[in-house]
Amino acid sequence: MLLPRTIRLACPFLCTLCLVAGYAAHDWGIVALAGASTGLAWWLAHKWPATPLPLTAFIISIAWSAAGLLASAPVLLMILSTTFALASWDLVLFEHSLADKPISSAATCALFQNRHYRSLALALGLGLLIVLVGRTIQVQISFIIIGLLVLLAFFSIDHIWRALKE
Amino acid sequence: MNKALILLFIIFSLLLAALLTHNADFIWLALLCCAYLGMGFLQSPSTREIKLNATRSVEKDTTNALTTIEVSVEITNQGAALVQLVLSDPRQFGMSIKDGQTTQTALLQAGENAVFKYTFQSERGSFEWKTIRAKISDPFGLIETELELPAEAKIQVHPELNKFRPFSLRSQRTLHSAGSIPARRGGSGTDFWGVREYHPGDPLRRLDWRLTARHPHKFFTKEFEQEEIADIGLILDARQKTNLQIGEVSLFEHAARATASLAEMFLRQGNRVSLLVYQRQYASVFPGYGKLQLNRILHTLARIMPESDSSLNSLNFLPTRMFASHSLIVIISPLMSGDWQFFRRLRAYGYQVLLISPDLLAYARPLLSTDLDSQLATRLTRLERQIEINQITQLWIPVIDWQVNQPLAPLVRNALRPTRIRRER
Repeated sequence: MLLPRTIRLACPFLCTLCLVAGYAAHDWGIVALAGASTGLAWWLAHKWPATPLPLTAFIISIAWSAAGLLASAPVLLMILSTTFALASWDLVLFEHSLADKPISSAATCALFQNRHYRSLALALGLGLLIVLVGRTIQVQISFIIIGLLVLLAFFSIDHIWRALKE
Repeated sequence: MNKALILLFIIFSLLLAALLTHNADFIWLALLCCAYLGMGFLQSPSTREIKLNATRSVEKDTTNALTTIEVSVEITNQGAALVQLVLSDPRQFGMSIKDGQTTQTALLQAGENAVFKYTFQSERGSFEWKTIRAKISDPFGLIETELELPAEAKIQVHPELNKFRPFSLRSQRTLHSAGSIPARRGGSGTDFWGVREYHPGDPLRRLDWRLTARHPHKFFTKEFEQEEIADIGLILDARQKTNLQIGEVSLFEHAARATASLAEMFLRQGNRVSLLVYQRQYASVFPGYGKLQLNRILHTLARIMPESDSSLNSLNFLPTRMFASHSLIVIISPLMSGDWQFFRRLRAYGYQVLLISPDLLAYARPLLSTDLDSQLATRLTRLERQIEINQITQLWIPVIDWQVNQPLAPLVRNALRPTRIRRER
């Protein structure tokens, strides 16, 4: 029980830390604002997980990461911040879903929790790996191809949306 | 809000930001979200692989009002995968959950089973379940699949019975079976009725020896008033227009409870009782006796709900021919404008009628506003009701203007007391 709890608390902390570190080169006011707003949002999200606060905290973290990218903050730190924000959001909601004592044996509950942590680690680890590989292997692509790729992405999103609706 | 949709929106926004700012780094952030979403999709359970079995059990088929009823559903995972389920039972009208929840999360390994339980109470009603809803999702809760698992059960909650103390009832016409109602005819009762000349076959213990002594060569027999049973029809008005719901209890519930209590008392006295519920599709219980008949009546009362329909604007459409002529008809109705004409018809057919009218205005008092307009409207409605009641009273029909917080038994006893009936006739 100690490890999941540590992970749950460490993720928002690391998310905030990455943002603060990313903005360190800037004015201290912005650093404090980014750190305080993200930290407070995640603290509130942990306190009231049944409300839209976890989503708000997640959006605030993503928004700060995106703003960091525009403000020439270190990309890797912003990516890490987003990764931890995603993990924090997932874990807050997961913890909340298990809070009303599901009908199951203790062994099944533990197995389910393990499966969830494993899936989350796999998803985010894989995502990070793709990002890191993508950033290491630099390929020069023209804007038109990027545009086409984006269109393909939109097309995929549309398909996913339809699949979800079905 | 659906988690997957939120993620899709964020991915879309990041891609748009990358396109607008010509900054490819935004795509890396979007890619992370895509990886999370993709993993969710890959791990979402296929409906073909999920094999769940549900069995519902309820303690009894029928129960009395305000008894705690436990509903339990056993879910067995017959598939091979570990599943996370959100089980939910729709909360039916009239249910008051006492313990547990109607929505519960369950985690089931292959071959494992879990029991989903909750208890509820109800004033009255017929509760039926066909399925239980199970929502299955991937580990991240992104893709949710809803399944309806067959799990049938039903239970009827009979209305609460207030046991009325029996009272002597004078009916215009009785049925020729031994009962408790004096039939105004000589026979084998307990009250002295008269003396007549002896007929061969009369029991010797009934001979009036004094009169015989005074008249030599003649014998006289004492007669007692025959006690028979009455034919009683109950009519319950289930029009939504005459009903008012305050909190969890409605005026109709009081009327249904009164009907059940009257039926119980009349049947306990040995009378023949029938029931007709005035709603879109008439619910009726044909005349009968005893506990079985009481059960039939309670079953019918448990099922009915007030209904609104334009065809139910007046009591005039009520079929009265299911009641034997000259029988006693007890109508439980809060009354609507123009209903009095139906009572005229009943009297014309020769029925003996009693009207119990739950007072809608008195019941609605906590909801009524105190401003001048409302007071005026209330006064007008009260006058209209009073006129309606007066018109019915002029037909020699006893009317009980019943405020539902009053005990009904003394009012009915007073309205049906023999002297009153005799005077009215």
